[in-house]
Amino acid sequence: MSVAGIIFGVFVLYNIVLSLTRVGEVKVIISVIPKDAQISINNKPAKPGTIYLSQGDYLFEAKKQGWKDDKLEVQIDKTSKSVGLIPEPDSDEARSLLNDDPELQLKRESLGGERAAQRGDQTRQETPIIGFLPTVEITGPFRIDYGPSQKRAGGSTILVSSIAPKGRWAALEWIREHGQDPTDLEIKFEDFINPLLESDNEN
Amino acid sequence: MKIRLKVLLALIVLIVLIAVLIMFVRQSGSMRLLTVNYKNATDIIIKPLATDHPHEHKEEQEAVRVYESGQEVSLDKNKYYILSYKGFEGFEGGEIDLPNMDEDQKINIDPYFSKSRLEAELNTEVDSIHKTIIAAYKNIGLYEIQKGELYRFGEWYGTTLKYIGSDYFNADTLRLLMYKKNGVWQIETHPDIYLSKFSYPAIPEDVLRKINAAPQPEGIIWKL
Repeated sequence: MSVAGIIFGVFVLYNIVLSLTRVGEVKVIISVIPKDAQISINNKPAKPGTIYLSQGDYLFEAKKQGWKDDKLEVQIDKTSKSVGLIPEPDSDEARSLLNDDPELQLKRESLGGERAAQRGDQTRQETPIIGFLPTVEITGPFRIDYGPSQKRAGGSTILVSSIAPKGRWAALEWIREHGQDPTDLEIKFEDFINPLLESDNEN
Repeated sequence: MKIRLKVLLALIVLIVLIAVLIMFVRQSGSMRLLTVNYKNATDIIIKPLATDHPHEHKEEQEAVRVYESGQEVSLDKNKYYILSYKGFEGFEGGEIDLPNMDEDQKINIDPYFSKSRLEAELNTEVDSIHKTIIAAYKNIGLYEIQKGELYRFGEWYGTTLKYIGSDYFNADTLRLLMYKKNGVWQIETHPDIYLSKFSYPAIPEDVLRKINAAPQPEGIIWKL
């Protein structure tokens, strides 16, 4: 009885201490392929598996000789996250390792798929207007679409097509009406030639 | 038997004590400290907002008044607050959102000039500003430079350029920002239909938002 009580007490104490140390932290599951790649979080060594992090922006990296370094910036918010790191093979040895192990390649593809989905979610979070695109407005007239940013890695450019100034202005109004300030976007007006910035006039 | 009972009772007391301790830690951990530093401002009041409706003010009696710069105020980590202040003569009053957050926070209230003060300063500056714009662009004759506005402490200037030329397809109104450095006005952005924070990361976002929200002058744009 007393031994069981003590074990129970120790168990309760352990869980209390554990929950106290994790107050305000979020569960993050780290996976990496190949498994023996070295992982770091914000340049500090880490291990794959489950860890707890406080909210904020983190840089996850995986390195292994013969493989290209994989870096992933992740914003940790209130919900738990899965972080998959998949360095690309950069040597014959690494490539043959993948060729000889189809199951490993399958796992890599699965992690890659998860990452693409996460990147898509992140893009939609950063640029919510994308959820309404593409759109065509004949009364503008304008067409709004989006593509990858030429200036920012992982960013998006909003592409506005309209031959008329009225249509371009209507497109900006449409963006505002859909809850986004154009200031927060990178917008390319595809049909506009800026009379003040034509090559020989540029400041 | 008695010893076993004592051990069991001691364990129960220990668990209760730990539970109380956890509740205490969690309770004290639910508060955050806000340090308010200010100048050129008065009537500083912090009000909690209903979490589900960030723009609905709750009961007035929950408001906290800040009496001196550097005062520390204890706020609930899980509540959303709004801080309001009035500016001294020549300074703008305003409101600052204080979203729910875990960390202690410091805010510095340093209000910008009032609209009337900026307007008065612009009247003395506008000619030299426009001369700078005219000197910078060969094709500026295609545009009518609008009066524009000064922002913040009068060091930022934004204006719209209304197209008056004959190329209907590129007759968009353009926006431009300038900055006064060492008493000299200099152009900070290319004139463009709108100004993105990604193209001009060094320019304060509030200044970019203001020039992007400046009204579109009535003109040739609506003829197409």
